[in-house]
Amino acid sequence: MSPALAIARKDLLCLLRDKQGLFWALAFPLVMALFFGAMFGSSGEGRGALQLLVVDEDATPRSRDLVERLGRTSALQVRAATADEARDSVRRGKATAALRIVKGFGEANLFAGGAPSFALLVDPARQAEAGMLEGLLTQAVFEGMAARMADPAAARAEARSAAERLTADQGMNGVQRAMFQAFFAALDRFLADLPQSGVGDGGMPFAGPRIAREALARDGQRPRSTWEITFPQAMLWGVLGLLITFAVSMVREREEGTLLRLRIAPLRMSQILAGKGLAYAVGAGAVVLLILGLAVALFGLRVASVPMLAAALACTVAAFTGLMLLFSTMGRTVPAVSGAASAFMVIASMLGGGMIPLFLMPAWMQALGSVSPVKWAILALEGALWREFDLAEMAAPCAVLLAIGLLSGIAGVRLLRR
Amino acid sequence: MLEASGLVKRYGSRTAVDGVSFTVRRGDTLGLLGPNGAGKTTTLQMLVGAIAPDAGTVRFADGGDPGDPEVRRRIGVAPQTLALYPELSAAENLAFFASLYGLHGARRRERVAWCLDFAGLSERQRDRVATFSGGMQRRLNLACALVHEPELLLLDEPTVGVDPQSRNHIFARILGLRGAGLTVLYTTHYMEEAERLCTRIAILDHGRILAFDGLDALLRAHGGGVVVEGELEAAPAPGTRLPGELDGLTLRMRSDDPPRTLRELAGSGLHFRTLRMERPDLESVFLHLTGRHLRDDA
Ligand SMILES: Nc1ncnc2c1ncn2[C@@H]1O[C@H](COP(=O)(O)OP(=O)(O)O)[C@@H](O)[C@H]1O
Ligand SMILES: [Mg+2]
Repeated sequence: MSPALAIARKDLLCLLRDKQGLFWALAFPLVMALFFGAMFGSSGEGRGALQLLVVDEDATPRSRDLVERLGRTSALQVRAATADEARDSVRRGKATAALRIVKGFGEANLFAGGAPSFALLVDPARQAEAGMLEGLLTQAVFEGMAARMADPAAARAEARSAAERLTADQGMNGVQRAMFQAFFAALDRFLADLPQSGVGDGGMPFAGPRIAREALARDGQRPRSTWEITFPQAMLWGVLGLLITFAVSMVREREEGTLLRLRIAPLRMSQILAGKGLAYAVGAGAVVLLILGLAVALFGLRVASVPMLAAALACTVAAFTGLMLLFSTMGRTVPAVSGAASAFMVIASMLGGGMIPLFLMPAWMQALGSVSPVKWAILALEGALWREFDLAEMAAPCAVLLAIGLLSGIAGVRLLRR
Repeated sequence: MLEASGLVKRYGSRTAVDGVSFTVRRGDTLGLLGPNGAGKTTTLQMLVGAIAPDAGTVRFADGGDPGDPEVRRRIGVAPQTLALYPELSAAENLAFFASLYGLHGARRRERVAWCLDFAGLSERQRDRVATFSGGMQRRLNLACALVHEPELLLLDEPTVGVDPQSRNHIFARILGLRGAGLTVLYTTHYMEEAERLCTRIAILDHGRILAFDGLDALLRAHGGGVVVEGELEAAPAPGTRLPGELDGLTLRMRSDDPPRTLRELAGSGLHFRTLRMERPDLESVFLHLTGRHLRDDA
């Protein structure tokens, strides 16, 4: 075994037996990931969603279809309620709004309209969201109509019934009646000419405005749950916790004299540092993979691209290995090194989005975050996990990470030679 | 085997080592004796190239310097601080240090076993060093310096803070190594250790070597003679010239050659009823050289 490998093996053995070091590198990040993940809501859809109570007085297949459509909307959390319960919940702020689907909604004809079929009650404190709610409601109704139109036979039947109802209307003069009859006749022909199936959902001109949610973000580019935010953070905490443990272990070797033994052995300084760096890289890699494995297995963390993830992890570990070597040689005493490394951990993760996700921070802080390796590491990890980075997008954070690793590693070697 | 000449090391305005020169000959057990802060550790670290001297040179037998890996392979060092990994077992510590010297496989196992036996730790070899007593850790600290079979062994205060039992164990082992022909450089602030173990002794104070010689030569040159003290059979006649001080019937004097002094006294009719002789020791040598005691507490 080469001396560098022997040193790496020894350091990993010491780490495995160092319960405290392991706690900070592994248990603590996991606990924090679980804690923050749970605190901000386990599902991105639940987070910030409007609580909507639905009172379905109509209770027809159409009203049930509408309720189901509303429930599928990520911005809403829909629950059925009685009219009294709904009013009470909104009044007490327990729900944002209550929707009453008035009897007759199901009968309303696609083409003939009718009396208003909804009543919407919105918490006065959340009026800002009322407009959004109406929009969502409209969208759901239109989607339902579009679905009905997708079946030309059903649409034809509906058109006929509308025609009958309108032509029977006594308040209509002859010209108007003739116009409607002509319109419905044309519509009937049009619907009859359509293929009887295979018209896609919303394929009809009546489909109404398709609210283009894709314009906000491709679904893949949004975190699906808070776990997808907190687990990359946890990986970084693990990497940083281990950085402190290793930087301190190096200066402890200096204080306790084992570094003297290493230095008087027939080794080059570079071999000593290579051994230390290797041990850290293996340890940090193991910690990150453990956290990742747990997140994938138990919390359904997505991995958009395994090769990208491998690249992101390798560059992250490389960056922090260099930083570990720098911190381990920056001070001469345990308090000096652990103080410097802890301060670095706090500042780098604060600025880099390791504690609070960057997108929640003011713009100037987001800009400042670029000085933190944590930001680049999280960006690379998220890029591989759910941001669906392509090669060029991934190259930027990886290049920054590699540069950080290289420069700090070189500085560390210089300091040790001193 | 090893020659240090004109070694100087300064820390800021303090000169830790101030022009130290000496030669270690093959088979020597050379003692570097001096109080705390005399510069022993600093000197030793310059010998092995762990710190660079501000002036002076260190040269090994065949012209190598301590930076040369081939030279390092032939030197073993037991640092003053316990340089061990407390999370690892005794055997794991030894195996790790052995692997730094390129030992592996059966050869390494054999050396580790030898060192465990040397340290008297064979039965505790699987226990973590953190669970060892101070004495056991000291013994292991010494054994780790021997795992690669060095020709020159540098020991920096190898008995500091150990119980008498471990101290005796260490003494016996060092005498054994000496008998086996190993060259040893031994630093200590205990004069008894230097007297008992070392063939030649350098007395170091404030970074300078004040005297460097064999024990007997040092005692003769700087010890101030044997202290002879005894009770006379009868009071000397008034006017008798005495070689020392008289207190009642007790005569106390110093002599470089006590038998001759006693014969001369007998010649002038002075006989002792009781007699006690005190050989000078390195403590008196140090006192003579510096005007101070060797130990802080003395
Ligand atoms: N790294 C250092 N920085 C500053 N002063 C030092 C350092 N190492 C040793 N000294 C000083 O050098 C002197 C000699 O120290 P040292 O060689 O350790 O003495 P000894 O081993 O004989 O007790 C002491 O005064 C000590 O304070
Ligand atoms: Mg010392």
